[in-house]
Amino acid sequence: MTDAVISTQGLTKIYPDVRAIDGLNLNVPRGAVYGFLGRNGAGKTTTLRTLLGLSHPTGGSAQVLGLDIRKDHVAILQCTGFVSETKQLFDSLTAEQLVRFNRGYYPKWSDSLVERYVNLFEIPMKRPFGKLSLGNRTKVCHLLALCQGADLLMLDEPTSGLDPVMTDLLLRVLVEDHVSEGRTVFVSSHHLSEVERIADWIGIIEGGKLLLETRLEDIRQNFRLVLASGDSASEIAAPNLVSKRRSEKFHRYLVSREADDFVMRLRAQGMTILEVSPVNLGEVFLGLAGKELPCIPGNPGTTRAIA
Amino acid sequence: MYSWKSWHDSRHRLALYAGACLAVGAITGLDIWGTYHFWAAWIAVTTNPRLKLWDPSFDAWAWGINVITELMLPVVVWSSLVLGVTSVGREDSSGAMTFILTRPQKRWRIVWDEWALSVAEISIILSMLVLGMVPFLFLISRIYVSFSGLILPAVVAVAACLYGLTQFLTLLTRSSAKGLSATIAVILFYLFLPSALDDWWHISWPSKVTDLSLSVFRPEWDGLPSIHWEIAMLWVIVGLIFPFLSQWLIERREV
Repeated sequence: MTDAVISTQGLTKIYPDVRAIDGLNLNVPRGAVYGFLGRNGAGKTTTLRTLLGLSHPTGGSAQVLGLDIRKDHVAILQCTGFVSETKQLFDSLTAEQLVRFNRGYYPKWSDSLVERYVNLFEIPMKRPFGKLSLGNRTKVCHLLALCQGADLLMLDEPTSGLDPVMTDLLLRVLVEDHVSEGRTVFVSSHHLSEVERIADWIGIIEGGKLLLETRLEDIRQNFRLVLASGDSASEIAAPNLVSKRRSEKFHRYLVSREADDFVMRLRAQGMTILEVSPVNLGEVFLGLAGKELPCIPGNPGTTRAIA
Repeated sequence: MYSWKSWHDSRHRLALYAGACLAVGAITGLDIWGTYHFWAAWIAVTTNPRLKLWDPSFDAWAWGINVITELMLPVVVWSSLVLGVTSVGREDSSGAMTFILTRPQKRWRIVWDEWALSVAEISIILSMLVLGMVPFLFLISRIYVSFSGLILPAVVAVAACLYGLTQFLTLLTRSSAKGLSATIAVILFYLFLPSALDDWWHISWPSKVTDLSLSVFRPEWDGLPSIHWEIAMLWVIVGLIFPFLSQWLIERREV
Protein backbone atom coordinates (compact mmCIF):
# COMPACT_ATOMS: atom_id res chain seq x y z
CA MET A 1 0.00 0.00 0.00
CA THR A 2 2.28 2.77 -1.21
CA ASP A 3 -0.20 5.49 -2.13
CA ALA A 4 -1.58 6.11 1.34
CA VAL A 5 -3.72 9.16 2.02
CA ILE A 6 -3.45 8.61 5.76
CA SER A 7 -0.41 6.91 7.18
CA THR A 8 0.54 6.63 10.84
CA GLN A 9 3.62 5.10 12.40
CA GLY A 10 3.34 4.23 16.07
CA LEU A 11 0.98 7.13 16.66
CA THR A 12 0.37 7.55 20.37
CA LYS A 13 -1.80 9.87 22.41
CA ILE A 14 -1.66 9.60 26.17
CA TYR A 15 -3.95 11.52 28.48
CA PRO A 16 -3.21 11.62 32.21
CA ASP A 17 -5.71 8.84 32.86
CA VAL A 18 -5.71 6.80 29.64
CA ARG A 19 -3.67 5.75 26.59
CA ALA A 20 -6.22 6.88 24.01
CA ILE A 21 -4.07 5.83 21.02
CA ASP A 22 -1.40 3.25 21.57
CA GLY A 23 1.14 2.83 18.78
CA LEU A 24 -1.31 3.09 15.92
CA ASN A 25 -0.10 2.02 12.46
CA LEU A 26 -2.76 2.98 9.98
CA ASN A 27 -2.67 3.02 6.17
CA VAL A 28 -5.60 4.42 4.26
CA PRO A 29 -5.21 3.99 0.49
CA ARG A 30 -6.12 6.75 -1.94
CA GLY A 31 -9.60 6.51 -3.44
CA ALA A 32 -10.88 4.10 -0.80
CA VAL A 33 -13.79 4.19 1.56
CA TYR A 34 -12.12 3.21 4.81
CA GLY A 35 -14.32 2.11 7.67
CA PHE A 36 -12.64 2.83 10.99
CA LEU A 37 -14.47 0.72 13.51
CA GLY A 38 -14.31 0.44 17.24
CA ARG A 39 -16.34 0.34 20.39
CA ASN A 40 -17.14 3.44 22.42
CA GLY A 41 -13.89 4.81 23.81
CA ALA A 42 -11.75 2.63 21.54
CA GLY A 43 -9.83 5.67 20.27
CA LYS A 44 -11.59 6.42 16.97
CA THR A 45 -12.45 10.06 17.66
CA THR A 46 -9.09 10.76 19.28
CA THR A 47 -7.39 9.36 16.19
CA LEU A 48 -9.38 11.66 13.92
CA ARG A 49 -8.74 14.65 16.14
CA THR A 50 -5.05 13.92 16.28
CA LEU A 51 -4.83 13.57 12.51
CA LEU A 52 -6.52 16.96 12.12
CA GLY A 53 -4.35 18.78 14.65
CA LEU A 54 -7.10 19.16 17.25
CA SER A 55 -5.14 17.00 19.61
CA HIS A 56 -1.35 16.85 19.82
CA PRO A 57 0.22 13.39 19.54
CA THR A 58 2.34 12.17 22.43
CA GLY A 59 4.47 9.98 20.21
CA GLY A 60 4.88 8.50 16.75
CA SER A 61 4.27 10.24 13.46
CA ALA A 62 1.52 10.58 10.90
CA GLN A 63 0.97 11.96 7.45
CA VAL A 64 -2.32 13.03 5.90
CA LEU A 65 -2.26 13.55 2.14
CA GLY A 66 1.53 13.30 2.41
CA LEU A 67 1.66 16.20 4.89
CA ASP A 68 3.05 15.96 8.40
CA ILE A 69 0.30 16.42 10.99
CA ARG A 70 2.62 18.29 13.37
CA LYS A 71 3.85 20.85 10.84
CA ASP A 72 1.26 21.16 8.08
CA HIS A 73 -2.09 21.07 9.80
CA VAL A 74 -3.42 24.15 7.97
CA ALA A 75 -2.56 22.60 4.60
CA ILE A 76 -4.18 19.33 5.72
CA LEU A 77 -7.35 21.16 6.74
CA GLN A 78 -7.40 22.91 3.37
CA CYS A 79 -7.80 19.57 1.60
CA THR A 80 -9.84 17.68 4.19
CA GLY A 81 -13.55 17.82 4.88
CA PHE A 82 -14.37 16.92 8.45
CA VAL A 83 -17.67 16.14 10.12
CA SER A 84 -17.24 15.88 13.86
CA GLU A 85 -18.98 13.49 16.18
CA THR A 86 -20.75 16.36 17.99
CA LYS A 87 -22.23 17.96 14.83
CA GLN A 88 -22.05 21.36 16.50
CA LEU A 89 -21.65 24.56 14.47
CA PHE A 90 -22.59 28.15 15.33
CA ASP A 91 -26.08 28.23 16.84
CA SER A 92 -26.70 31.82 15.79
CA LEU A 93 -26.08 31.31 12.07
CA THR A 94 -28.47 29.80 9.54
CA ALA A 95 -27.28 27.12 7.14
CA GLU A 96 -27.17 29.80 4.45
CA GLN A 97 -24.88 31.95 6.60
CA LEU A 98 -22.76 28.95 7.52
CA VAL A 99 -22.26 28.27 3.81
CA ARG A 100 -21.19 31.88 3.37
CA PHE A 101 -18.83 31.63 6.34
CA ASN A 102 -17.30 28.37 5.15
CA ARG A 103 -16.98 29.31 1.50
CA GLY A 104 -14.22 31.81 2.15
CA TYR A 105 -11.85 29.17 3.47
CA TYR A 106 -11.85 26.89 0.45
CA PRO A 107 -10.71 27.86 -3.05
CA LYS A 108 -12.36 24.74 -4.51
CA TRP A 109 -15.73 25.48 -2.93
CA SER A 110 -18.64 24.55 -5.20
CA ASP A 111 -21.90 26.52 -5.07
CA SER A 112 -23.47 24.18 -7.61
CA LEU A 113 -22.90 21.30 -5.18
CA VAL A 114 -24.49 23.38 -2.42
CA GLU A 115 -27.60 23.75 -4.55
CA ARG A 116 -27.61 20.06 -5.40
CA TYR A 117 -27.24 18.82 -1.81
CA VAL A 118 -29.63 21.37 -0.32
CA ASN A 119 -32.33 20.01 -2.62
CA LEU A 120 -31.30 16.40 -2.22
CA PHE A 121 -31.09 16.42 1.58
CA GLU A 122 -33.98 18.87 2.02
CA ILE A 123 -31.92 21.17 4.22
CA PRO A 124 -33.74 24.14 5.81
CA MET A 125 -31.36 26.97 4.93
CA LYS A 126 -33.12 29.85 6.65
CA ARG A 127 -33.40 28.51 10.19
CA PRO A 128 -30.69 29.17 12.78
CA PHE A 129 -28.50 26.13 13.32
CA GLY A 130 -29.34 26.10 17.04
CA LYS A 131 -33.02 25.54 16.24
CA LEU A 132 -32.48 22.59 13.90
CA SER A 133 -33.14 18.96 14.80
CA LEU A 134 -30.17 16.61 15.19
CA GLY A 135 -30.84 15.14 11.77
CA ASN A 136 -30.87 18.53 10.07
CA ARG A 137 -27.72 19.56 11.95
CA THR A 138 -26.03 16.45 10.64
CA LYS A 139 -27.13 17.34 7.11
CA VAL A 140 -25.73 20.87 7.40
CA CYS A 141 -22.41 19.52 8.68
CA HIS A 142 -22.24 17.17 5.70
CA LEU A 143 -23.22 19.95 3.31
CA LEU A 144 -20.25 22.04 4.43
CA ALA A 145 -17.84 19.12 4.18
CA LEU A 146 -19.10 17.83 0.84
CA CYS A 147 -19.00 21.17 -0.99
CA GLN A 148 -15.48 22.26 -0.13
CA GLY A 149 -13.85 20.15 -2.84
CA ALA A 150 -11.89 18.08 -0.35
CA ASP A 151 -9.54 15.30 -1.43
CA LEU A 152 -10.25 13.49 1.82
CA LEU A 153 -13.44 13.32 3.84
CA MET A 154 -13.10 12.38 7.50
CA LEU A 155 -16.49 11.59 8.95
CA ASP A 156 -17.03 10.77 12.60
CA GLU A 157 -20.31 8.92 13.12
CA PRO A 158 -21.67 10.43 9.89
CA THR A 159 -25.23 9.13 10.07
CA SER A 160 -26.13 10.06 13.64
CA GLY A 161 -29.60 11.55 13.72
CA LEU A 162 -30.38 10.74 10.07
CA ASP A 163 -33.46 8.74 9.14
CA PRO A 164 -33.03 5.61 6.97
CA VAL A 165 -33.87 7.50 3.76
CA MET A 166 -31.29 10.22 4.42
CA THR A 167 -28.76 7.64 5.57
CA ASP A 168 -29.20 5.81 2.29
CA LEU A 169 -28.87 9.06 0.33
CA LEU A 170 -25.76 10.12 2.17
CA LEU A 171 -24.03 6.79 1.67
CA ARG A 172 -24.85 6.88 -2.04
CA VAL A 173 -23.58 10.45 -2.36
CA LEU A 174 -20.33 9.52 -0.65
CA VAL A 175 -19.71 6.66 -3.05
CA GLU A 176 -21.14 8.08 -6.28
CA ASP A 177 -20.04 11.73 -5.99
CA HIS A 178 -16.79 11.45 -4.13
CA VAL A 179 -15.13 8.08 -4.29
CA SER A 180 -15.93 7.77 -7.99
CA GLU A 181 -13.83 10.92 -8.52
CA GLY A 182 -10.83 9.39 -6.82
CA ARG A 183 -11.38 11.02 -3.46
CA THR A 184 -10.97 9.18 -0.20
CA VAL A 185 -13.55 8.76 2.53
CA PHE A 186 -12.50 7.85 6.05
CA VAL A 187 -15.54 6.88 8.11
CA SER A 188 -15.32 6.36 11.84
CA SER A 189 -18.35 4.51 13.12
CA HIS A 190 -19.78 1.68 15.09
CA HIS A 191 -22.71 1.24 12.73
CA LEU A 192 -21.36 -1.87 11.08
CA SER A 193 -24.12 -2.33 8.54
CA GLU A 194 -23.62 1.16 7.10
CA VAL A 195 -19.87 0.78 6.94
CA GLU A 196 -20.18 -2.65 5.40
CA ARG A 197 -22.38 -1.19 2.69
CA ILE A 198 -19.87 1.33 1.40
CA ALA A 199 -16.41 0.51 2.73
CA ASP A 200 -13.76 -1.31 0.79
CA TRP A 201 -11.16 -1.15 3.57
CA ILE A 202 -11.71 -1.84 7.24
CA GLY A 203 -9.66 -0.93 10.30
CA ILE A 204 -10.72 -2.14 13.73
CA ILE A 205 -9.39 -0.34 16.78
CA GLU A 206 -9.68 -1.41 20.39
CA GLY A 207 -7.98 0.13 23.39
CA GLY A 208 -6.13 2.51 21.09
CA LYS A 209 -4.51 -0.35 19.14
CA LEU A 210 -5.31 -1.32 15.58
CA LEU A 211 -6.39 -4.95 15.75
CA LEU A 212 -7.12 -5.47 12.08
CA GLU A 213 -6.67 -3.64 8.81
CA THR A 214 -7.85 -5.38 5.67
CA ARG A 215 -10.00 -5.20 2.58
CA LEU A 216 -13.67 -5.89 3.19
CA GLU A 217 -13.56 -8.21 0.19
CA ASP A 218 -10.90 -10.23 2.00
CA ILE A 219 -13.23 -10.70 4.94
CA ARG A 220 -16.01 -11.89 2.66
CA GLN A 221 -13.88 -14.27 0.62
CA ASN A 222 -11.20 -15.59 2.93
CA PHE A 223 -12.11 -15.04 6.57
CA ARG A 224 -13.66 -18.06 8.31
CA LEU A 225 -15.06 -18.73 11.74
CA VAL A 226 -14.03 -22.13 13.08
CA LEU A 227 -15.93 -23.58 15.99
CA ALA A 228 -14.27 -26.51 17.71
CA SER A 229 -14.44 -28.41 20.93
CA GLY A 230 -11.69 -30.11 22.83
CA ASP A 231 -9.16 -29.47 25.56
CA SER A 232 -5.76 -29.22 23.96
CA ALA A 233 -5.77 -26.48 21.38
CA SER A 234 -5.75 -23.29 23.41
CA GLU A 235 -2.05 -22.71 22.71
CA ILE A 236 -2.38 -23.00 18.95
CA ALA A 237 -0.75 -20.15 17.07
CA ALA A 238 -0.81 -19.45 13.35
CA PRO A 239 -0.08 -16.36 11.22
CA ASN A 240 -3.58 -16.51 9.76
CA LEU A 241 -5.25 -16.66 13.18
CA VAL A 242 -6.95 -13.30 13.81
CA SER A 243 -8.58 -14.08 17.13
CA LYS A 244 -9.33 -17.00 19.38
CA ARG A 245 -11.74 -17.35 22.22
CA ARG A 246 -12.40 -20.14 24.62
CA SER A 247 -15.42 -20.82 26.75
CA GLU A 248 -14.92 -23.97 28.79
CA LYS A 249 -14.15 -26.69 26.21
CA PHE A 250 -15.53 -24.77 23.24
CA HIS A 251 -13.20 -22.73 21.06
CA ARG A 252 -13.89 -20.10 18.45
CA TYR A 253 -11.18 -19.17 15.96
CA LEU A 254 -11.29 -16.42 13.41
CA VAL A 255 -8.86 -17.09 10.59
CA SER A 256 -8.02 -14.68 7.82
CA ARG A 257 -7.10 -17.25 5.10
CA GLU A 258 -6.40 -20.95 4.45
CA ALA A 259 -9.06 -22.11 6.86
CA ASP A 260 -8.76 -25.70 5.60
CA ASP A 261 -5.12 -25.93 6.69
CA PHE A 262 -6.03 -24.48 10.06
CA VAL A 263 -8.84 -26.99 10.51
CA MET A 264 -6.42 -29.83 9.71
CA ARG A 265 -4.06 -28.57 12.40
CA LEU A 266 -6.87 -28.51 14.93
CA ARG A 267 -7.91 -32.02 14.04
CA ALA A 268 -4.30 -33.16 14.34
CA GLN A 269 -4.39 -31.91 17.93
CA GLY A 270 -7.47 -33.96 18.67
CA MET A 271 -10.03 -31.19 18.40
CA THR A 272 -13.54 -31.81 17.11
CA ILE A 273 -14.59 -29.34 14.44
CA LEU A 274 -18.17 -28.23 14.97
CA GLU A 275 -18.50 -25.70 12.20
CA VAL A 276 -16.52 -23.74 9.63
CA SER A 277 -18.43 -20.79 8.20
CA PRO A 278 -17.85 -17.58 6.28
CA VAL A 279 -18.20 -14.45 8.33
CA ASN A 280 -19.57 -10.97 7.90
CA LEU A 281 -18.09 -7.76 9.22
CA GLY A 282 -20.15 -7.90 12.39
CA GLU A 283 -18.77 -11.33 13.30
CA VAL A 284 -15.22 -10.18 12.65
CA PHE A 285 -15.78 -7.09 14.75
CA LEU A 286 -17.27 -9.04 17.63
CA GLY A 287 -14.57 -11.66 17.28
CA LEU A 288 -11.96 -8.98 17.86
CA ALA A 289 -13.65 -6.49 20.12
CA GLY A 290 -16.61 -8.41 21.57
CA LYS A 291 -16.97 -9.74 25.08
CA GLU A 292 -18.01 -13.23 26.09
CA LEU A 293 -21.02 -14.05 28.16
CA PRO A 294 -20.44 -16.87 30.65
CA CYS A 295 -20.87 -20.20 28.84
CA ILE A 296 -23.73 -22.49 29.77
CA PRO A 297 -22.22 -25.94 30.22
CA GLY A 298 -22.73 -28.08 27.14
CA ASN A 299 -23.90 -25.20 24.98
CA PRO A 300 -21.40 -23.66 22.55
CA GLY A 301 -23.82 -20.89 21.58
CA THR A 302 -22.06 -18.13 23.46
CA THR A 303 -18.89 -18.73 21.50
CA ARG A 304 -20.75 -17.87 18.33
CA ALA A 305 -20.98 -14.20 17.64
CA ILE A 306 -24.40 -12.81 17.02
CA ALA A 307 -24.10 -10.32 14.19
CA MET B 1 -13.19 34.86 8.13
CA TYR B 2 -13.88 34.30 11.81
CA SER B 3 -14.11 38.06 12.14
CA TRP B 4 -17.14 37.92 9.83
CA LYS B 5 -18.84 35.64 12.33
CA SER B 6 -17.81 37.95 15.20
CA TRP B 7 -19.18 40.89 13.25
CA HIS B 8 -22.41 39.02 12.54
CA ASP B 9 -22.88 38.22 16.23
CA SER B 10 -21.99 41.67 17.55
CA ARG B 11 -23.45 44.03 14.94
CA HIS B 12 -26.84 44.43 16.61
CA ARG B 13 -25.19 45.00 19.97
CA LEU B 14 -22.88 47.52 18.32
CA ALA B 15 -25.82 49.39 16.78
CA LEU B 16 -27.66 49.41 20.11
CA TYR B 17 -24.72 50.64 22.17
CA ALA B 18 -23.60 53.15 19.53
CA GLY B 19 -27.13 54.51 19.28
CA ALA B 20 -27.44 54.75 23.06
CA CYS B 21 -24.09 56.54 23.32
CA LEU B 22 -25.05 58.92 20.53
CA ALA B 23 -28.27 59.74 22.38
CA VAL B 24 -26.51 60.21 25.72
CA GLY B 25 -23.87 62.41 24.07
CA ALA B 26 -26.55 64.48 22.32
CA ILE B 27 -28.59 64.92 25.50
CA THR B 28 -25.45 65.98 27.36
CA GLY B 29 -24.51 68.37 24.55
CA LEU B 30 -28.04 69.80 24.51
CA ASP B 31 -27.89 70.36 28.26
CA ILE B 32 -24.52 72.10 27.99
CA TRP B 33 -25.74 74.19 25.05
CA GLY B 34 -28.76 75.35 27.04
CA THR B 35 -26.64 76.17 30.08
CA TYR B 36 -24.18 78.07 27.89
CA HIS B 37 -27.00 80.25 26.59
CA PHE B 38 -28.15 80.85 30.13
CA TRP B 39 -24.61 81.95 31.05
CA ALA B 40 -24.31 84.11 27.93
CA ALA B 41 -27.66 85.77 28.65
CA TRP B 42 -26.68 86.36 32.23
CA ILE B 43 -23.40 87.99 31.15
CA ALA B 44 -25.26 90.16 28.66
CA VAL B 45 -27.57 91.59 31.31
CA THR B 46 -25.07 91.84 34.14
CA THR B 47 -23.50 95.12 35.06
CA ASN B 48 -20.50 93.47 36.69
CA PRO B 49 -17.48 94.31 34.45
CA ARG B 50 -15.52 91.29 35.68
CA LEU B 51 -18.19 88.92 34.34
CA LYS B 52 -17.94 90.67 30.96
CA LEU B 53 -14.38 89.29 30.71
CA TRP B 54 -15.54 85.65 31.28
CA ASP B 55 -15.58 83.40 28.18
CA PRO B 56 -18.38 80.90 28.90
CA SER B 57 -17.66 78.99 25.69
CA PHE B 58 -14.38 77.63 27.13
CA ASP B 59 -16.15 76.51 30.29
CA ALA B 60 -18.89 74.90 28.23
CA TRP B 61 -16.28 72.89 26.29
CA ALA B 62 -14.35 71.97 29.43
CA TRP B 63 -17.54 70.89 31.16
CA GLY B 64 -18.61 68.83 28.15
CA ILE B 65 -15.27 67.06 27.82
CA ASN B 66 -15.17 66.32 31.54
CA VAL B 67 -18.68 64.88 31.50
CA ILE B 68 -17.88 62.75 28.48
CA THR B 69 -14.71 61.36 30.07
CA GLU B 70 -16.71 60.47 33.17
CA LEU B 71 -19.34 58.74 31.04
CA MET B 72 -16.71 56.88 29.06
CA LEU B 73 -15.41 54.77 31.92
CA PRO B 74 -18.62 52.75 32.47
CA VAL B 75 -19.07 52.50 28.68
CA VAL B 76 -15.52 51.15 28.32
CA VAL B 77 -15.99 48.60 31.10
CA TRP B 78 -19.43 47.49 29.88
CA SER B 79 -18.63 47.19 26.17
CA SER B 80 -15.24 45.54 26.80
CA LEU B 81 -16.75 42.94 29.10
CA VAL B 82 -19.76 42.23 26.88
CA LEU B 83 -17.66 41.86 23.73
CA GLY B 84 -14.97 39.96 25.63
CA VAL B 85 -17.26 37.30 27.05
CA THR B 86 -18.81 36.71 23.62
CA SER B 87 -15.39 36.16 22.05
CA VAL B 88 -13.95 32.91 20.70
CA GLY B 89 -13.47 31.34 24.15
CA ARG B 90 -17.21 30.85 24.54
CA GLU B 91 -17.22 28.50 21.56
CA ASP B 92 -15.71 25.85 23.82
CA SER B 93 -18.85 25.72 25.91
CA SER B 94 -21.12 26.08 22.87
CA GLY B 95 -19.36 23.10 21.28
CA ALA B 96 -18.35 24.93 18.10
CA MET B 97 -14.63 25.13 18.88
CA THR B 98 -13.99 21.94 16.91
CA PHE B 99 -15.61 23.53 13.87
CA ILE B 100 -13.55 26.72 14.22
CA LEU B 101 -10.26 24.92 14.71
CA THR B 102 -10.84 22.65 11.72
CA ARG B 103 -11.12 25.61 9.33
CA PRO B 104 -7.87 26.03 7.41
CA GLN B 105 -6.39 29.11 9.02
CA LYS B 106 -3.58 29.98 11.39
CA ARG B 107 -5.01 30.00 14.86
CA TRP B 108 -3.41 33.30 15.79
CA ARG B 109 -5.62 34.96 13.18
CA ILE B 110 -8.75 33.97 15.07
CA VAL B 111 -7.58 35.86 18.15
CA TRP B 112 -6.11 38.90 16.41
CA ASP B 113 -8.90 39.36 13.85
CA GLU B 114 -11.46 39.26 16.61
CA TRP B 115 -9.41 41.54 18.84
CA ALA B 116 -9.00 44.12 16.07
CA LEU B 117 -12.69 44.01 15.20
CA SER B 118 -13.79 44.36 18.81
CA VAL B 119 -11.42 47.24 19.55
CA ALA B 120 -12.75 48.94 16.42
CA GLU B 121 -16.32 48.39 17.61
CA ILE B 122 -15.57 49.77 21.07
CA SER B 123 -13.91 52.77 19.39
CA ILE B 124 -17.07 53.35 17.35
CA ILE B 125 -19.25 53.15 20.47
CA LEU B 126 -17.02 55.64 22.31
CA SER B 127 -16.86 57.89 19.27
CA MET B 128 -20.64 58.08 19.26
CA LEU B 129 -20.56 59.51 22.76
CA VAL B 130 -18.25 62.27 21.55
CA LEU B 131 -20.06 62.72 18.25
CA GLY B 132 -23.38 63.11 19.99
CA MET B 133 -22.10 65.97 22.08
CA VAL B 134 -19.58 67.76 19.88
CA PRO B 135 -22.08 69.29 17.39
CA PHE B 136 -23.72 71.20 20.27
CA LEU B 137 -20.33 72.34 21.58
CA PHE B 138 -19.48 73.22 18.00
CA LEU B 139 -22.45 75.58 17.97
CA ILE B 140 -21.05 77.26 21.05
CA SER B 141 -17.53 77.72 19.75
CA ARG B 142 -15.25 76.19 17.13
CA ILE B 143 -12.05 77.28 18.83
CA TYR B 144 -11.83 74.37 21.29
CA VAL B 145 -12.90 71.56 18.94
CA SER B 146 -9.42 70.02 18.99
CA PHE B 147 -9.91 69.10 22.67
CA SER B 148 -12.49 66.47 21.77
CA GLY B 149 -9.96 64.61 19.61
CA LEU B 150 -7.65 64.06 22.56
CA ILE B 151 -10.06 61.89 24.46
CA LEU B 152 -10.53 58.85 22.25
CA PRO B 153 -7.04 57.35 21.79
CA ALA B 154 -6.35 57.29 25.51
CA VAL B 155 -9.71 55.72 26.38
CA VAL B 156 -9.45 53.17 23.57
CA ALA B 157 -6.10 52.05 25.04
CA VAL B 158 -7.86 51.23 28.31
CA ALA B 159 -10.72 49.56 26.43
CA ALA B 160 -8.32 47.41 24.38
CA CYS B 161 -6.64 46.26 27.56
CA LEU B 162 -9.90 45.38 29.29
CA TYR B 163 -11.24 43.62 26.21
CA GLY B 164 -7.98 41.67 25.80
CA LEU B 165 -8.11 40.59 29.43
CA THR B 166 -11.71 39.40 29.09
CA GLN B 167 -11.01 37.63 25.79
CA PHE B 168 -8.02 35.86 27.36
CA LEU B 169 -9.84 34.80 30.52
CA THR B 170 -12.85 33.58 28.53
CA LEU B 171 -10.52 31.50 26.38
CA LEU B 172 -8.65 30.26 29.45
CA THR B 173 -11.77 29.25 31.36
CA ARG B 174 -13.56 28.02 28.20
CA SER B 175 -16.76 29.75 29.31
CA SER B 176 -18.39 33.17 29.08
CA ALA B 177 -19.69 33.10 32.64
CA LYS B 178 -16.39 31.97 34.11
CA GLY B 179 -14.49 34.46 31.94
CA LEU B 180 -16.68 37.30 33.14
CA SER B 181 -16.30 36.28 36.79
CA ALA B 182 -12.55 36.00 36.42
CA THR B 183 -12.29 39.39 34.72
CA ILE B 184 -14.34 41.12 37.41
CA ALA B 185 -12.22 39.40 40.05
CA VAL B 186 -9.03 40.65 38.37
CA ILE B 187 -10.38 44.21 38.09
CA LEU B 188 -11.51 44.29 41.73
CA PHE B 189 -8.24 42.75 42.87
CA TYR B 190 -6.33 45.34 40.85
CA LEU B 191 -8.38 48.26 42.13
CA PHE B 192 -8.47 47.28 45.78
CA LEU B 193 -5.13 45.57 46.27
CA PRO B 194 -3.07 48.74 46.88
CA SER B 195 -5.49 50.18 49.45
CA ALA B 196 -6.00 46.77 51.05
CA LEU B 197 -2.25 46.33 51.43
CA ASP B 198 -1.99 49.80 52.87
CA ASP B 199 -4.93 49.47 55.27
CA TRP B 200 -4.32 45.94 56.50
CA TRP B 201 -0.57 45.50 56.37
CA HIS B 202 0.61 49.13 56.08
CA ILE B 203 2.45 48.38 52.88
CA SER B 204 2.49 51.38 50.57
CA TRP B 205 3.00 50.78 46.90
CA PRO B 206 5.04 53.21 44.83
CA SER B 207 2.85 56.12 43.80
CA LYS B 208 3.36 55.29 40.12
CA VAL B 209 1.71 51.93 40.68
CA THR B 210 -1.25 53.24 42.65
CA ASP B 211 -1.80 55.93 40.00
CA LEU B 212 -2.70 53.29 37.43
CA SER B 213 -6.43 53.59 37.78
CA LEU B 214 -8.79 52.49 35.03
CA SER B 215 -9.12 56.12 33.99
CA VAL B 216 -6.36 57.78 32.07
CA PHE B 217 -7.78 61.18 32.95
CA ARG B 218 -7.48 63.37 35.97
CA PRO B 219 -10.77 65.32 35.88
CA GLU B 220 -10.38 68.99 36.60
CA TRP B 221 -13.67 70.81 36.89
CA ASP B 222 -12.12 74.22 36.46
CA GLY B 223 -10.52 73.31 33.13
CA LEU B 224 -9.92 70.54 30.58
CA PRO B 225 -9.04 67.11 31.95
CA SER B 226 -5.37 66.29 31.81
CA ILE B 227 -4.48 63.09 30.01
CA HIS B 228 -1.83 60.87 31.57
CA TRP B 229 -0.06 59.97 28.37
CA GLU B 230 2.59 57.85 30.04
CA ILE B 231 -0.14 55.85 31.74
CA ALA B 232 -2.07 55.59 28.48
CA MET B 233 1.07 54.18 26.83
CA LEU B 234 1.42 51.69 29.65
CA TRP B 235 -2.18 50.59 29.00
CA VAL B 236 -1.29 50.09 25.34
CA ILE B 237 1.68 47.91 26.24
CA VAL B 238 -0.22 45.87 28.85
CA GLY B 239 -3.18 45.72 26.47
CA LEU B 240 -1.05 44.08 23.80
CA ILE B 241 0.12 41.36 26.19
CA PHE B 242 -3.35 39.81 26.49
CA PRO B 243 -3.96 39.01 22.81
CA PHE B 244 -0.49 37.46 22.71
CA LEU B 245 -1.44 35.33 25.71
CA SER B 246 -4.69 34.37 23.98
CA GLN B 247 -2.73 33.47 20.86
CA TRP B 248 -0.37 31.31 22.91
CA LEU B 249 -3.37 29.61 24.49
CA ILE B 250 -5.34 28.91 21.32
CA GLU B 251 -2.30 27.60 19.47
CA ARG B 252 -1.94 24.93 22.16
CA ARG B 253 -5.62 24.30 22.62
CA GLU B 254 -6.80 20.69 22.34
CA VAL B 255 -10.48 19.94 21.87
